[in-house]
Amino acid sequence: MINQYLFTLKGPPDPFIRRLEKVLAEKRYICVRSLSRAGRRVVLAAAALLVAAAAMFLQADDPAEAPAPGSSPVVYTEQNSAPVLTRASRPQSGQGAGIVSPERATLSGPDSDSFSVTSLPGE
Amino acid sequence: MPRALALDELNQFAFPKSRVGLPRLRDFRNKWVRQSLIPLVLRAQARDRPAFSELWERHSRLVHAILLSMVPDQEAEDLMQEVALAAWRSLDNLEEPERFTPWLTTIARNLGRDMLKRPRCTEQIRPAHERLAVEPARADQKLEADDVMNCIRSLPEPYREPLTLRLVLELSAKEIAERTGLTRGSVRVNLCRGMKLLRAAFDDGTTS
Repeated sequence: MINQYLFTLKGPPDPFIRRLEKVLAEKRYICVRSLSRAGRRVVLAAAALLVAAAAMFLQADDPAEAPAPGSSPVVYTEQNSAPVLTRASRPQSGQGAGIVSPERATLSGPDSDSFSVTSLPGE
Repeated sequence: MPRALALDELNQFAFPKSRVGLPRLRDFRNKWVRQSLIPLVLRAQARDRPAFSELWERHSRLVHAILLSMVPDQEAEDLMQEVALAAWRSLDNLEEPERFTPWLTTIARNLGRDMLKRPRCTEQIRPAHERLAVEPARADQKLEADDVMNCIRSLPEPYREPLTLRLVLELSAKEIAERTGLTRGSVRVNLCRGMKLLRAAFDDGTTS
């Protein structure tokens, strides 16, 4: 339909009409009172966001909310002053909470979900 | 991806003027505006000034656009005060509160016509064909808002108002009909014919 955009503002925009719309946008009346009301709303919304962010920050600092030791499968260790990432998702019985020593480092097959990397390339 | 979907939804909410989410948000807003209008009108009729102020804030853009289709910018802004005063004084004459918007546009239209009859309104608007015979506007030439508005004002009267509301406020034909009290069919006809004249006046090479 040729005039679909003209009548309904839907469909592919007519380039000539879009041009006129852009040119005439500056003729739109701006109600100052509405603007001041909108400004107040923006300030209130920003304040509410700040309060919410502060509440989340304080909640994160709460020690009761901190994760239990060993619950994370990712553990960072240091060897020869080089940072080495070891990862073990399933700690075995008698083993620490996911910490894998360099001597026992193994790389399992692709089907296994347990692996660890203890040496950097070239070492 | 759920993250991308959420951003799209947020985008539509934050930019209701964007083409993506336009129809649904607009329909929802129009429905809400219509429903919340009647209590405001009733309160204003009981001489509640804040209620009338709220009503005026909601309609000031529309009134300005209607006046703009008849008189130049500065006079349109001056006339707005008169329209608000006339509406406040004659609110008791409004029998159907749901017809407040068309009633207000009629007041604006009448005052605009009165303004055109006054001797102090001396600006002569040349007809589009006469103006463009002197300075033809090409498709690649930068259009100025005043030129376009002068051209619209030089068109036959029935085409001016729908075209101004469509191009300045970006209202659909349905919304124009609701606000001005005209039938949807006549708004469409006037829009179509007016746009045809406007295209011819600006010698647009990109007509569809």
